[in-house]
Amino acid sequence: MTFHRSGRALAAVLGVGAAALLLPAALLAIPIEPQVTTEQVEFAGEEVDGLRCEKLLDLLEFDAAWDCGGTTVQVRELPVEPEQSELALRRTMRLSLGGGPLPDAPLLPLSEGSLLPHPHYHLIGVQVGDHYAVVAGPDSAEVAVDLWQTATGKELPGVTTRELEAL
Amino acid sequence: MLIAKILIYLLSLVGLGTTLFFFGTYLTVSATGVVIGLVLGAAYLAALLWFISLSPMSPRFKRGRRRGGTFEWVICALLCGSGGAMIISAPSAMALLQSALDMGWFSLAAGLAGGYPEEAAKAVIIALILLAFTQLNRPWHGLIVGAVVGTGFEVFENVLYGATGALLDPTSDAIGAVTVWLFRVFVGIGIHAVFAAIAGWGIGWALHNGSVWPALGWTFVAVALHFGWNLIADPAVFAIKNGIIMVVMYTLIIVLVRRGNAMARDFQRTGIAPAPKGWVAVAYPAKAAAVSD
Repeated sequence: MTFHRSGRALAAVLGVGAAALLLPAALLAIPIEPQVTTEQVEFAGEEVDGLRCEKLLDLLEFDAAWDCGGTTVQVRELPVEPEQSELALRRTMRLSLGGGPLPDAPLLPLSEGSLLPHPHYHLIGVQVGDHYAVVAGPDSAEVAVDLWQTATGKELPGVTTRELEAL
Repeated sequence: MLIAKILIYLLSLVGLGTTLFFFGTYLTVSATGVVIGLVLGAAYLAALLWFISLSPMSPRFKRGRRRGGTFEWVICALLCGSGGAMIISAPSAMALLQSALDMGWFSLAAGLAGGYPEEAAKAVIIALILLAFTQLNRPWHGLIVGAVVGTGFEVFENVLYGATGALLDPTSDAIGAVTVWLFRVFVGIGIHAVFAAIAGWGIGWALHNGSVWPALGWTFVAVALHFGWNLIADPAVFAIKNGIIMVVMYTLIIVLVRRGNAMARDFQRTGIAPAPKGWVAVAYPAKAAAVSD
C-alpha cells in the first residue's frame, strides 16, 4: 500500500495546481466597469449634508469608509474614558496610516471634542464623544468641518477652521 | 520523487523568505504586536503540532536517513504552508479581490479572495509533499500533512493579524494584539488546519487510488467552508452563519479523524490495507472492508 508516485501523478498535480492558481489571474485581463456604490456619509449616527461618496470596503479596521472625490473618510465608534480620548484619536489616525509612531501634531481641543490636523500626511482626526473620524486628501479641511458640524450641530470657531484650512 | 522534492525545497525557501520579510515589515507597523504574536504563535504552533501528533495516523518521526524518515516534511509543510502558500495564492487572490470589488460584490470579496486561493494553494502543497517524501505512504497521511500545512498558514496569518490588530485598540498595542489572538484562537480554533486537513484527506486517497476525484471533491469542500466562513454579513447574521459552519466543519473533521485513526490502528495491528477503491467504500471501522480485500 503506497502512493502512485509517477510522473503522471506529478504532472497532474502541477497541471491542476497551475490552472487552479493562475487561471483566476486572467480575470484581470477582462475589462470590468467598476460598480461604484455611492451613499450618504454618516458620522456620529447622522447623515452629513451634501456629502454623498463612494463606499469603500474596509474589512477589519474602521466601521465605515468612503471616497469623496479623492478625499477619504474613515469612521469608527470607540467607547473610551474621556481622559483617553486624545490617545484614542492619535491611535485612530495611526491606524489609518497603517501603524508606526503615533502622530505627534498638536491637538485642537474644543468643548464638544477635538481636532487633530496632521500636516505631514494631509490628515485630520476628528473626535466628538465616542465617535472618531480620519479625513485624508485635498478637501480634508472642508470635509472635517462638515463632519464636526454634523456631529455637534455647531459651527467651528473661525480660528480653528483657519488652522484646518492652513493644512 | 526528486522533482517534487526540489519543488518543495524551493517553495520552503520562498516561504521562509516571505515569512521573515512580512514579520520584519510588520515590526514597523507594531513591534509590540509582532513580538506578542511570535510568543503566542510559538505556543500555538507547539500545541497544534502536539495535538496532531497524538493521532495514530501521524507518521512516526525518525531522525537520520538510515532509519528511513526525518522531520524534513514537517518543516517543509510549515514553511510552504505559511509564506509559501501566501506567495502562490497571491495572483489569484488579488485578481479575485479586484474583480469582486469592481463588481460591487463587497460581501463576497473576502470569501472569493481568501477561500478559493488559499485552499487551492494549500492543496497543491499537500500533494507535492505527499509525492516528495516517501515516508508518507498511507492514504490518511494526507489528512495529517494537510493539518500541518494548515497549521503553518494559521500561525503565520495570526501573527500578521495580531500585529494589525494591535492598532485597533484605542489605548494599547498589547491589548489589541492579545484580543485579536484570543478571538482567532477561540473562535475557530485550528480553522486553517481543519480546512487543509479536509482537503488533505481527499488528496491522500487520490494519490492512493490514482484518481483525481477525491482530491478535487474534498478540496472543494474545504474551499466551500472557507468561502462561507469569510462571507461578510451583519454581525448577527455573521455569528449565526459562522456558528453553523463551525458545527459542520468540526463534525466533519471529527468523523474523518475517527475513520482515519481506526484505519491506521487496524493497519498497525494487522498490516492489512484498507479497501483501495476510495474512502466512500471504506466501512467504519475499516476492518471488515480491509479483511475482505
